[in-house]
Amino acid sequence: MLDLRHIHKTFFPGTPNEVQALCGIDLLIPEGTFAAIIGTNGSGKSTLLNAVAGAFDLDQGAIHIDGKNISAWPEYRRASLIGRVFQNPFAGTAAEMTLAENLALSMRRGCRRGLGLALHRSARTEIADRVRSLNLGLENRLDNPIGTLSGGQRQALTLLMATWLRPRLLLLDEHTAALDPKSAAQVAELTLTIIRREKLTALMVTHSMPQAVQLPDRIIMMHKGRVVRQYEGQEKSRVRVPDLLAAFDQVRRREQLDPAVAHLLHNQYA
Amino acid sequence: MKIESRIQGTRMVVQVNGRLDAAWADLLLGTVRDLVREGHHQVRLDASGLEYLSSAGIRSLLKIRRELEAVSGSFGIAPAAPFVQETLRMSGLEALLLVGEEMPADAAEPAAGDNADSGTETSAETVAKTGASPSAVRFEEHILDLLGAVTVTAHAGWRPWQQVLDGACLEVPLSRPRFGLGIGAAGRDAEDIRSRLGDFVAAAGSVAWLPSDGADRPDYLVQNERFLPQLNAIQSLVGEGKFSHLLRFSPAASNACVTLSDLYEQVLRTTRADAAALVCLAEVEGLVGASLARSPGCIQASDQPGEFPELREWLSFCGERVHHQSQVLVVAFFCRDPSHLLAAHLAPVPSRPGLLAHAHAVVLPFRPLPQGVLDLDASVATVFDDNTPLALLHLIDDDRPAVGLGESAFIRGACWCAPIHDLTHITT
Ligand SMILES: Nc1ncnc2c1ncn2[C@@H]1O[C@H](COP(=O)(O)OP(=O)(O)OP(=O)(O)O)[C@@H](O)[C@H]1O
Ligand SMILES: [Mg+2]
Repeated sequence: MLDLRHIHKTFFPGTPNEVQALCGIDLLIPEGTFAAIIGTNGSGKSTLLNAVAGAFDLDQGAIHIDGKNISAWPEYRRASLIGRVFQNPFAGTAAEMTLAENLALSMRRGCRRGLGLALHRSARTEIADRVRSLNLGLENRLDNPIGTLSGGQRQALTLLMATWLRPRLLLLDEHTAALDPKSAAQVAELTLTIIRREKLTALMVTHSMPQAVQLPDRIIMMHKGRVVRQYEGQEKSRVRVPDLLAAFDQVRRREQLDPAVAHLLHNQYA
Repeated sequence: MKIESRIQGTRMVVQVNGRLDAAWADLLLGTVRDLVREGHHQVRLDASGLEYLSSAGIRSLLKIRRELEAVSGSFGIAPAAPFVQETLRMSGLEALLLVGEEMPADAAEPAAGDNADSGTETSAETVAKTGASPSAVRFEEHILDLLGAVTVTAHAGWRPWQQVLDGACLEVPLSRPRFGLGIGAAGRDAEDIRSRLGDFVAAAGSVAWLPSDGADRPDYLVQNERFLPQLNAIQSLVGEGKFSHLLRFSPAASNACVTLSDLYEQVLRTTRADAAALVCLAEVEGLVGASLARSPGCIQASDQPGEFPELREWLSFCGERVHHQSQVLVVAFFCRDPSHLLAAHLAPVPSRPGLLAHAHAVVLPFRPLPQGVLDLDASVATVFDDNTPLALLHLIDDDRPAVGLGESAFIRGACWCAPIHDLTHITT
């Protein structure tokens, strides 16, 4: 379970470059819920994920995972609870290392010492089994450098690594956005399979409205550092892409209602 | 494939050369639909230069035929290359799609719409003339009933932006021949709908409203034999009676359109009244309006919904001219006498000093209308049939200097109207 209470973050406060990236985010994501975050560019989606992962200190607010207040934990310590996959397929893995070595690393996530890469036979068998479950034929390439894989294959592996130890929370930041449509669909499907199989609590940032409609249990819509709309339960199961677009439109229109328009409406909305 | 169109007398001839297959079928369909929008309802396909016709191509031809029939137009292939005739004969579509030798088009072929008025007001005496045409729009005036007039029932259980009190709600029947607008919702009783009250518009047995509980699309009810639509409303203006006139309008020059207040003025002139009502089906040039974003039923004593910025929570403004080329059903009540009893339910139209009005509009995907005299019930039914409302607006005249969006305007359409002869206030 992820519990965000009144999160605020302003970058470059008090300078001309000041950006209020998060303005009072309150969110409760129950155990086993898969939530997608959608929103316009710069609405604070990545910043929110970074805040949870511990990339910077909050100005205000608290983050609880499974009831533990982790607001003061450093990023590496949070990594013992959180799995992450980024947009860039090259971000989560070390290109020169082999598939097996990369996966062995992820098995030790959250431990600060002992990066010995010697693999026991049993560990190797487990790695091969799990890689086989991806259905990408990669189990035969365990000793190849990961840099030789395609973007989609790398994202699939990164996903496997991020979920290897069943994290308490999985954070996905547009992890299919840099892939070709076919690979994106494959990785999206794999994401859903793993999240459901492991009953993970997950937050996925996506720009793909069809993905937001199809994959998660809940949709969180952000705009200018705020959560402006959520779809869950029945409403979520009914929502379609045009509804989301219309909702964005509504948010955009709301901003155009300035005092002059208010005056007009006041007079004419009789 | 190459598509060219030319006018030949009263017909529009579309010439296709090359291959009409799946890849080109949509383009042809789109081209013909554009022509239909422009008012060309007699369409012929010159297929003498066609080299190939696939089943996808045939399907698009059948679709064109069906859509033109729906507006009492006509469609056929003439002339056709021998292989086209052969293909159609083998698929049994010869009779449907091929037209034989026709009278030259400019010889008196019945004008479009001549067969469309059967079934409308039989007592209608039809007079067509070109009226004064604001902004290069052609008005065609048809008298439906010289004594036609409507009675209006007004109910203001709620005044913006007060709290909704117990007993403010009224059950408002909106079956044919009533038409109206207001704020309400469908539901069991006043309590049931308290959090969903939204703008509504009703005519000819079709009722659409925008539930203000976060719905992005209007909901709607359509009358049938056993079902008579009604809403629970906190505000309503409902008209009932006979329309005196039907105004048909269309652009006489490219880009010409008629604004909502043009339409008000035209109706007041035509009906020689100081207060009138209209129901209009039209193709949209652009709409300007607002709609409730939260239900007035949710207003608490401490709220100030009418004030900026709180107003943003309660009203949603379109922000730009919207729904170009969509279909709209507008219901409006208007007068030019501020002392008229109706004026209490209307608001000033800032760009036409002296005019007061209240108009709601429901937007649907475009459906072409037949020409000439139309029956309101049948036309509204066609527009709602198998068609889902896209939006619903309380129309606003945005006369802000420089940045104003102006008024709602229409490209072409049909406007049923009548003077208002009687007004009843219901108090709850
Ligand atoms: N580390 C940072 N330092 C300064 N400003 C930042 C930082 N991270 C984000 N911002 C700013 O905060 C705002 C929100 O950015 P964020 O990356 O969270 O948006 P986003 O919703 O993820 O957008 P996108 O869809 O483009 O990925 C932006 O204005 C951005 O420039
Ligand atoms: Mg981002």
